[in-house]
Amino acid sequence: MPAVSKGDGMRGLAVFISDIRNCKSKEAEIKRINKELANIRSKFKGDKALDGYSKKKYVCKLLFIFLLGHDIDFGHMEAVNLLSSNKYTEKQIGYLFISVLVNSNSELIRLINNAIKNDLASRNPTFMCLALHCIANVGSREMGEAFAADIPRILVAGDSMDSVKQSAALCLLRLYKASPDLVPMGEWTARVVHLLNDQHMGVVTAAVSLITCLCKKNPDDFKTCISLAVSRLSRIVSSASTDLQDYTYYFVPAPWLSVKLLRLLQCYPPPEDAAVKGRLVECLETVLNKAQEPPKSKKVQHSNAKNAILFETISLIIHYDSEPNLLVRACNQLGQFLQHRETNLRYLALESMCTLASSEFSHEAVKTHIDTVINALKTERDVSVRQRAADLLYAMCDRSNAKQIVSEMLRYLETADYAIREEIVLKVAILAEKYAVDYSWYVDTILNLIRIAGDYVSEEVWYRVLQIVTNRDDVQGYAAKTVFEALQAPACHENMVKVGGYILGEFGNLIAGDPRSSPPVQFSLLHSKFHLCSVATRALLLSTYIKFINLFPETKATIQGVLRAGSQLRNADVELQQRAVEYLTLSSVASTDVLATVLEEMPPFPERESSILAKLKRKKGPGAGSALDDGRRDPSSNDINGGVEPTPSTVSTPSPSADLLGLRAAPPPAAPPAPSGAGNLLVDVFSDGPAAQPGLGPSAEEAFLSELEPPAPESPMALLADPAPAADPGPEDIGPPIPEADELLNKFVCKNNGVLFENQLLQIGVKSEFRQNLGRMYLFYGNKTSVQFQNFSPTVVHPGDLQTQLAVQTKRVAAQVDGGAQVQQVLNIECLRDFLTPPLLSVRFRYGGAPQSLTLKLPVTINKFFQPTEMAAQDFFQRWKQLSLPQQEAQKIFKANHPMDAEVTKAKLLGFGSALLDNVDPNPENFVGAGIIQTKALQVGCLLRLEPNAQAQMYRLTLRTSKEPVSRHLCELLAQQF
Amino acid sequence: MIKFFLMVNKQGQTRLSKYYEHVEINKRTLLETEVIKSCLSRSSEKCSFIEYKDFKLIYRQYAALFIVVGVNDTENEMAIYEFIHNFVEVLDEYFSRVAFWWYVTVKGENRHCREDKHQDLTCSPIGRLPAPAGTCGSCEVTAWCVTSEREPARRCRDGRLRI
Repeated sequence: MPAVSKGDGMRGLAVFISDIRNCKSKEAEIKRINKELANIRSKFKGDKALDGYSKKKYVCKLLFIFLLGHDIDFGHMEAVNLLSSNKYTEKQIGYLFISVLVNSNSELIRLINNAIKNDLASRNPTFMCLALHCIANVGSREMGEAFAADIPRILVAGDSMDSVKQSAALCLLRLYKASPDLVPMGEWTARVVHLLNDQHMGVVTAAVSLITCLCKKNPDDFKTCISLAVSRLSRIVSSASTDLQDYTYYFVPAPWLSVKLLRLLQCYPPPEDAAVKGRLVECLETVLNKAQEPPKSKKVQHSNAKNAILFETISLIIHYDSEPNLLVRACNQLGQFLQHRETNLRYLALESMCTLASSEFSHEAVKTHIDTVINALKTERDVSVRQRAADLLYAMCDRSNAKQIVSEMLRYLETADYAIREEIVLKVAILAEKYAVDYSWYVDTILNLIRIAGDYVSEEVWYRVLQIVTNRDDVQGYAAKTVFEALQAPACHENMVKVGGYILGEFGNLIAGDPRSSPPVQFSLLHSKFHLCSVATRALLLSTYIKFINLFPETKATIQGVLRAGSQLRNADVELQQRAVEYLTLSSVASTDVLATVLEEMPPFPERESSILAKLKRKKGPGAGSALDDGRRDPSSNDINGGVEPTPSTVSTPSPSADLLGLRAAPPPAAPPAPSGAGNLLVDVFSDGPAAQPGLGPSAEEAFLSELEPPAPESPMALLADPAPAADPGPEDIGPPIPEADELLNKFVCKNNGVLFENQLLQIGVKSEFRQNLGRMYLFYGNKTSVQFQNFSPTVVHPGDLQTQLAVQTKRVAAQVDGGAQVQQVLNIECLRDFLTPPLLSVRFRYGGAPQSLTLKLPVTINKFFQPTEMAAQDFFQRWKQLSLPQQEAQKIFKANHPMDAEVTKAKLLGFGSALLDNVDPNPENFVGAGIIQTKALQVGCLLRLEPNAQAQMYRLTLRTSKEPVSRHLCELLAQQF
Repeated sequence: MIKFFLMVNKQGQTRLSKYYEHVEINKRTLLETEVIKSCLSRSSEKCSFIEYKDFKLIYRQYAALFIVVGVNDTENEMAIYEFIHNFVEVLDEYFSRVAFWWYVTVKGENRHCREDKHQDLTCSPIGRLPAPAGTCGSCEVTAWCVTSEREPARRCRDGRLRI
């Protein structure tokens, strides 16, 4: 590389710069610059050809002017000319100007590319480097297109100089990052890996960066890099502190290269080759050992560089998660850092430990540091360090220390920074739920949360406590008592009022025996908060009041008085007004029995993923997943604290009570009891509405949230507050299925699409698809008449205990169906466990004023959730034998109802859902099938054999499954098909 | 992976910025303002890493100048932290008394510099070096900054940066 001597002139430039610096004002500076620009322009335009030196000088001045913030609109051509100079300094200034100033001006780009091409081909390493740097600096797509193919060649060419290889690797990396599609993979990739063995450390460093990036896309192509990286790392780690000369940084050999090599290894699983693995483990141990040695230098740079390697080593150990010994050593090392006087180290130690906590090998070791971490949470001066400490506490929490950690976090919450309060609240809520041994502790914790940081308790948190209290009767009394006490505080948070309102409305009767919390006391306590609350809370409280009327008839007069007050009946808020009016009417019109039915206690909520967890995940982004998902380590926790288990269903809550009043349907306020009995489902607040699709993840959760946003849907009595169209009447309301229902159902056992029902008025078509335990069904209701159907309401009903076995979610259909028109209804179906009876479809409408009703069996049978299974004869017989208990088998010998055609039989069996296995049965006339019935709760393996006897026109059907009722049911279903 | 590299003075003005991922110019200004604000508000006892949106900021202060590097979350914080120092040392050896010079440049002489030109390596201290040697060096340092993946080289015995 040519030396750059300071004497290399350009005095004019120095003078110009010092002139500028001496300018007293912005105006003077502009004046001086304009003068210079005019001068340069005239020189460039002049007749006399400028020599390289002058061009360089003027281009430099232009560059300087540009850097001062002035636009430059000429001189580009001169800069491009400089590129073809043979003098290093001139060429370099040309490239500098171009890197800084040229945008994709097509005409110039062609010239520039040409110059770059020449330099790349020049075999002069300095020029090649300049050209490569320029490509990397500009990094545009055009340049990528022009050179992406050349650079790999230069990179792996045997005769390239080290500096060129290094620049080429980095340039390629840059192009690959900018536009990966432009960089062709090929034969060179194998040779790039061997650059890890290069003599020159700079080349190795550049190559590691390149490979780390490339191998993420094609890990297998670069697999050989593992052993090379390990041996390289081993040589660096074991080298003496001065071996690497230029690459030794404060007595640490090649720290950044080591970090990069360790990072590269994290792209792969642990090496399979035992020798390589042994060598790597040795390296990792050496690094851990070195951390214990006395430092070779007192300089902070030395220890920083050393620690950088150490932290990366620990990341690799955590990534492998297979060496208990190393994991525990890593944990101990981090434990030392937890008390280090350098904040940076404490921060990083907490951060790394957080990932260590999720490894089963080091979880216990991490737990030993709990006191230090708690102390950090209390005393650390930096909020980001405290945040890390809170994260770590969350990650290390398990059943054994949950109480301690939760109480420490609660205590911290009182003084926590506002920025992280909400997150801490979520974490406490999740931990309390996940590790709750007794639910009174859980309730206490959440109420404490609301007390301490009510503003930061999001809706999810208090919804969740209500879900849990509603679902567990052992905690309801305690919850009622606790909220009652909490509400007695002179100032309590509105969230507390909401929780209190809901819980007392549901379970206030459990504490009513105590004179201190007698019904009137409860009511006046709640009502004392009423005026301070927002509309949503007031709406909730009104619902509580009407529930009180049911729970405590003695409060009826008082509550009616409150409802009747002008401030309620004529409230400006339409929601409040409507509730007041409806509740007042309800309480005066309905009999005690009706009230008791309408205002019955809420049914248990379907188990589902804790919405809090989803929220925390959303907050933290995908990266936080590992620490949060550690609940899986402890599967037993799911049984007790069911909420952690993700449950993809939003089951329509069964309706124990019909809306006998139909208040919603008729215009308020004077709602006459609707004789039609068009019931409204007691849709629960958390899983109401057709919008809540089965499914996990933020989208479902968001749908669920937005669902809750309209004013005051928190009403415990959704029947009054919720305009849900999913009008499921109670089972007692609908008529028995029509006589042909069974026959119609049988038509659909082996097929998914077709016409389910038809009469003079109505045609119902079905189209359905099933996958695993989920299904979607489209029902098409066609009005065959020319008259509009009114109050058209198709509903799905689960007779008996089907609701625990099958979840069917319906979407709203229009209440009017015009003559000749068709409406579509979508049903989302989830099979929770095996079931025998199909759900019923009840269709009601008014045709020409006359009510019509029709009940059919919905063509959903257990075999719809069949998943065909292919297996060899040997496997089949083995499993057949395994299911040899008499109750596992069901057999039926029956007469053929249809002509016995092998092809038709085959199609039916396939339609039934099982796989047909050839070459299993020795008799080729026989059919053998296998499949698995997928339900949410369990899977039922199922084997079948059908033996036709053409002479006797008989079949023998044998079913073997692991569950007796399933065997019998399937056998019956299938036997009717032939 | 490094996402951007910023040099900022105590007044909150960007003196140099280099992005390794595409960020729109107007968003850069916003981002820089926020980044600077979060760095300036910290006292020396706080740690040098800040979580900012979906990436991390790692910063060091030299006299009145902050160097801030934005990285994604797989990056080794300590390595970057020391990389900043290495960068400064290299500049110092190459240009001698860089810290002092920065101080002067940043404090005294940039009064006319237009803010909107900071989007690239343009209004860099290197670009403002008065001596020709500086302009020559800038190309090398530019290349060095751009590639960012380079092992920070120490000075060769012949006194020049190894590129």
